[in-house]
Amino acid sequence: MREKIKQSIHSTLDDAALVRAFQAGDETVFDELVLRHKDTMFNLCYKFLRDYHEANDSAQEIFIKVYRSLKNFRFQSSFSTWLYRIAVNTCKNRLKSLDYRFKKRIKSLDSHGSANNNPSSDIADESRSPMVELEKKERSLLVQKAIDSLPGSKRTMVILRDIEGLPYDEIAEITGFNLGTVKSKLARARSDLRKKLRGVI
Amino acid sequence: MECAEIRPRLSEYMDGVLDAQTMSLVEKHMLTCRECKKTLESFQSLVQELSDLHPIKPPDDFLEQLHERMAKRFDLKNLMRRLFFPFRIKIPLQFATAAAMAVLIFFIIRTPEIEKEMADIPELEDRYESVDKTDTKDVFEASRGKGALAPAPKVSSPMEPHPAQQLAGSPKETAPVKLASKSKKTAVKPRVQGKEYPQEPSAVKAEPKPSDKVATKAIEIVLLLTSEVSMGADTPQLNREMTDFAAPEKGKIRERRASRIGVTAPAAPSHALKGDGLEEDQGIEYLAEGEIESKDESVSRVLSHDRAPSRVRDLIHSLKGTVLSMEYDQNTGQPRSLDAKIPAGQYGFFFEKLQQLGTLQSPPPALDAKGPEPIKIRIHFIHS
Repeated sequence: MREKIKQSIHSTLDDAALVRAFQAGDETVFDELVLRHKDTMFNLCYKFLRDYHEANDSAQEIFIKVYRSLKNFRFQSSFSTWLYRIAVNTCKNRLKSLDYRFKKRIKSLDSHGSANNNPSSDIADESRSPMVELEKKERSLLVQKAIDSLPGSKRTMVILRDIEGLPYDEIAEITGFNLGTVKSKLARARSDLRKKLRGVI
Repeated sequence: MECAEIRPRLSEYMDGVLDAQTMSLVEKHMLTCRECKKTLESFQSLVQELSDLHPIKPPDDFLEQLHERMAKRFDLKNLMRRLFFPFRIKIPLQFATAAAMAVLIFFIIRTPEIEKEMADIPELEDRYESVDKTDTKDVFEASRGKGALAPAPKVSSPMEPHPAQQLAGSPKETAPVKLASKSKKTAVKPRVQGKEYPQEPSAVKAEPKPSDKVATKAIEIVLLLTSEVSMGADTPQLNREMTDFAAPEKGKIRERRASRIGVTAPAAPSHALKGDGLEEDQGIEYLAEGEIESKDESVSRVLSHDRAPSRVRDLIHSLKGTVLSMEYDQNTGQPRSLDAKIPAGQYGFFFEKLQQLGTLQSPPPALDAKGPEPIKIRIHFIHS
């Protein structure tokens, strides 16, 4: 009962307040931060890694890093931006890892690819007909494949801007690029995707 | 603006991040250019498609999984933290430990060397001590009576002739001993003057235990003997095997001519000759002390070269050495060579005394052995 009350109180606090509470010694607020951001982090990891278990593993690693460093957070950016920064770096490092590259190579030999690794993939839209749904699913797969084919920084731009919907300045803060670089990289990424998906879109 | 300038700006235009002036120019161009308008529409569809990608749900027990992972990871960390002090304590402690280890290792390595150095020091000191604190007792006194030769010389300087070194004249001798030595002889004083030498090899404390090991190679010495005739008429040629007159004690054993017999100690009864002379090659004969050997009793003489070999033997015995054998000339019957072994520590002193008995043809070779370790010597007698 006490736990539930505590959770409800925590849910009313914004991220900054929760972080301050954590820094004051109340480590129970950490659970609230996890519950609040786990979906976003999981999806972000999934967009990068295109594998359910890899995404789950990476998302948990992100929160472990947050737990270790939260006491030293200095509020120079929002908690969300700081979290995204950790997430993007974690996913980039994972993409570079030999283990991940090996698994990806093995997966590419399987024609079903990522679809098999995602038991709870696309949420079905009941308003559409099965055919439409099927087309949509196939199109999504193609789009995701096209994103996969982008190099690291371009892929990051597309995910943060077009999938996560983050503003340019936040993207600049997360990635460490200046604003002009973010704009030009995103433009080039979109142009590449448009060429790859010609005929689909 | 041209299409090539417009198309790179369509992405920013779409997101509304262009500056006002550039935005106005793009909009103006779009009104007239169908291709650029189509490109913009495709960008918009793409972005729409990307944003429509359905989110993926994480596992329901995501939080529990995270707790489990954290428990494993941080419990180990806490344990490590508990085991080791904070850095401000840990680092100085580690430095202190490293320094203590270094000192310990240094002493472990150095200890055998230190012990060795310490062991060497007394050895050297004792050696010099025994040189300085020579006992007044002569070595010869123990075996030959009083007034014998002075103690054995130092090993390091075997050939230092000492003016105070004196040849002992045995009080028991009845005939004066005249030797063909260059140096003068004076009465032996009980106390050795000047340089003093260690009494015995065992006086040197750090010396190794005396062993029976004998140097395999004998030291060769050539001793030139000259003769002095005390009075004279005709001197018949001695035709005898042995001519050892110099036995101060009774029971001196005479060796067989031209044979090598190992002799360890004189231990035979005396036997007086009465002018018969000695038979050649006839076993062992004994001479009485101071007996004159001559067929012709009118001639009384003492031959130094006859006496020298026996004096050499006496000298060897006095130094606690052993005469191994003597060889005699077949024609003259005179001793030709003598094999013996003496303690290495007496080497120098032995040669000093030897010089009083005869002339050394060449300086004695240097000796490597030390202390009581016996050395072999072979003295070749040359009768002038």
